[in-house]
Amino acid sequence: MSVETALAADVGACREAAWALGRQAARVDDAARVVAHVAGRADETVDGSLQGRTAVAMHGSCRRLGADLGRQADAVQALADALADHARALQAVDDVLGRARGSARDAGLLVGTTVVPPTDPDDEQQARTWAAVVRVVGLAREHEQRADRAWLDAVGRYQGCAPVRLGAAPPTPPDDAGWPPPQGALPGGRGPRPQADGRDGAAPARPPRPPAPGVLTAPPLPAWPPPPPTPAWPPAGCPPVVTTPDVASPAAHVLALGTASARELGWG
Amino acid sequence: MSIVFEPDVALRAAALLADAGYDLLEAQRLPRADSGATTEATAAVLAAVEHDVGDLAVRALQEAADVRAVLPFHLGADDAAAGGYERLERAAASRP
Repeated sequence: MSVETALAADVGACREAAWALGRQAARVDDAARVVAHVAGRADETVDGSLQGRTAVAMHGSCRRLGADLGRQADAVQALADALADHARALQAVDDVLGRARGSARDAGLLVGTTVVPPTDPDDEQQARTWAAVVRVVGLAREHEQRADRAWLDAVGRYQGCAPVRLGAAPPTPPDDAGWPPPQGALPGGRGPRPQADGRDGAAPARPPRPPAPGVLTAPPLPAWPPPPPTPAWPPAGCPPVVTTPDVASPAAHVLALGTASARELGWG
Repeated sequence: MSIVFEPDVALRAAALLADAGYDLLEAQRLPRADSGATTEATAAVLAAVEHDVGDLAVRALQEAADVRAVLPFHLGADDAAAGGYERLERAAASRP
C-alpha cells in the first residue's frame, strides 16, 4: 500500500476564478446602480399630465432589471467568497501534503509524489515516519473532502439545488489546536507558496450598495405590467440544500487538524 | 399623448443602459478552474453564472434599444409619438 500526496485541484486556478467572480459581481453591481438611476430619472421626468402607462412600463421594466441585477451581484459575490474560501482550504491541504512529502523524502520513502512503505523492517525511523505520514495524509484528505462539500453547498445555493453530494462527512478531529505546525519546524519542510500577483485568493472588496436613487423612494406603481412572480425558495421539487453543520469554514477545518499528528512528524 | 422624457434625458438613459449592457457582456466570461473532485460542478456553476449575466446584459441592451426607438417619435408630432410609446409599452410588457 502506498500513499499519494499530490493534490488534484489547481489551487491557483481556483483563486483566479474566485477573483474573476468577485470582479464580475462588482461589475453587475455597477450595472444595477446605473439601471436604478435610469429608473429614478424616468420617475423624475414624468410629465404631470401623463396617464402613466408608458412611464410605468419604462419605470417598472428598469426597476425589475435593476432588482435582478442586484440579486445577481449578491449571488455572484457569495459564490466568489465561497470559491476563495475553497481555494484557501485547498492551499492549506496542499501545504500539509507537501510537508508530509518532505518528511517521507528525508526518510527515503518518497517516489515521485507517492509515499511507499518501508522496505527495511529493522529501520524504526522509517516505520515511524511511514505511520505518521499515513495518518497526516489521511487527515488532510478528510479536510479536502470537507472543503469540497462546502464548495458544493455554495454551488447548490447559487443554482437553487444541491447538485452533487460526496457522501458522508468524515468525523471531526477532536483536537483543533496548533494546526498546521509552524513553518520551519520540520527539516526540509516547504514554506507557503509565494503569490506572484500578490493576491491572497480573496475576492475584491465591494462597497455596500447605497439605496438606489429614485427606486426606494418612488411612489407605488400600478400593477402594470404585472411583475413576474417571485420564485419560491428553495424551488419546489428541488432537494433541500443540506449544509453540513461543522463546515462553516473549510479553512477552519483544515486548521482543525490535530496536533497529535503534527507531533508524530516532529512538527510541533 | 404626453411626453415621457425630455429628449436629452431619454438619450442619456439609453446610453446608460447600453453602457451597462456592454459592461456586463465584457465581464461575462469567467476562467475555468480545476478544483479536483468538484471540477465538474465548478465548471457547471461558472457556466450558469456566465449565462445569467449574459441574459441580464441582453435585457439592458434591449431596454436601451426600446428607449432609442421612442426618440424619433418623441421629437415628432404627438400622434407619431403615441405610436412610439405604444411600441415601448408592448416591448416592456412582452419581457419577463
